[in-house]
Amino acid sequence: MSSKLNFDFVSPMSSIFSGEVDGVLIPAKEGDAEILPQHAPFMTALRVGIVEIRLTDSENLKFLIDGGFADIALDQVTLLAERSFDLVESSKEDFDKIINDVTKDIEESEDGEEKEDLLIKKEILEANYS
Amino acid sequence: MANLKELRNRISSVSSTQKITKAMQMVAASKLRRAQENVETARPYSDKLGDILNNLSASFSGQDNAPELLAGNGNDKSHLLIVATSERGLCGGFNTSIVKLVKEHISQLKGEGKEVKLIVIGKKGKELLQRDFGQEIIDIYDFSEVKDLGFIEAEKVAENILSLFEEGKFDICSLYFAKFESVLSQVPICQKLIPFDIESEVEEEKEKDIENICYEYEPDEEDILKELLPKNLSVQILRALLENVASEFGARLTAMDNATRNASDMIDDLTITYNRSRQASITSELIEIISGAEAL
Repeated sequence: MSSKLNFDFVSPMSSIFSGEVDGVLIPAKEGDAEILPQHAPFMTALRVGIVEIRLTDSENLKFLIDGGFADIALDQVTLLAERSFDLVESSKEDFDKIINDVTKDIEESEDGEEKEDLLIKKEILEANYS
Repeated sequence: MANLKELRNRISSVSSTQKITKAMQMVAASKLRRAQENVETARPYSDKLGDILNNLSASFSGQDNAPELLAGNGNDKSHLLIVATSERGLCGGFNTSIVKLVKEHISQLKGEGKEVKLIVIGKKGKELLQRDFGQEIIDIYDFSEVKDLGFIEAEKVAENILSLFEEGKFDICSLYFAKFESVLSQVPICQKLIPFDIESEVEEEKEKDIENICYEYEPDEEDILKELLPKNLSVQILRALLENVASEFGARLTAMDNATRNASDMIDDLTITYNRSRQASITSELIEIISGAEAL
């Protein structure tokens, strides 16, 4: 029995992460889900939220995503997301830029659901601002 | 025989043209490498998405409640053709071969009495199609200002297609672009977008791997599919755009290589003619001098 997961995190323009991990926390449409090795085959849509990649006990990677898909089968997790933002490695300038963009989008958007997503995104960004 | 000065001018103009084509060739070569990398990096996403879709759509095949984007809306009266071409010329037969395929299909569809609509991406396609099919073009995208074609552009096109589909403006949608096979060969192809074309060969291979997996879906299959299909549309368009960029540079590289070689052949020919006519004029001058001296 393997104690590691194969995790692929891809966006349309690049591969963001690929490798073995202890587990992944994903923001599934109907609630957050922690995927550990030996998880049952599972496919889900994702909402706006944080993807947390557990490399080791102490080392985590965090990404903000705009929604996407996850496909979990036989210790292989594939996560598809169109847009992602690194919450750990990004610099202050990157944060400022993306928060500005999101704020602008919030002002421009009218649709209820879309605006809600953007507000959540902004909150997450501000909470992780470092 | 042409006058010496004229010949000298021709030689210098051909060699400056050669310099330009040579420079364009080198630029195309370096851009081609980048474009190929982009195609490669975009591949995992579209492959994975394709896998998931094939998985899901297999469970829907033959059912009545399949989403319209997957199974079509049951009609095939009105066709929307999306033609992806380049923004710049001087790339050999790249644009003409795509447009040729499109024109063939248009006349075939029209022969069958179907309605045809066109969406053109790229300035060159517009120039080539506007004269014959100006009436059919419903939208034109010009990405000449965009430096790196990316997901944002593909999404723009996809959103437009989706809203047209929801309004019932067309029944079947296909995408035309040049698939990048190698620097020497770019093949114009037609890909069906709506209804979604399940790749039967790929499916068979994949089925072996995942035969025994029984997925759980959250939310249910139908909802996932509803979200996945529009995404797939953007991704397919993105793939086409990226392939097209790579093909364009490949075609330009070959065309400019040919042009450079032709220019050096031409310079050789012209130089020989130039030397011969110079020799001839020297000989005739000598004869004149000698025969003048003999006459004395």
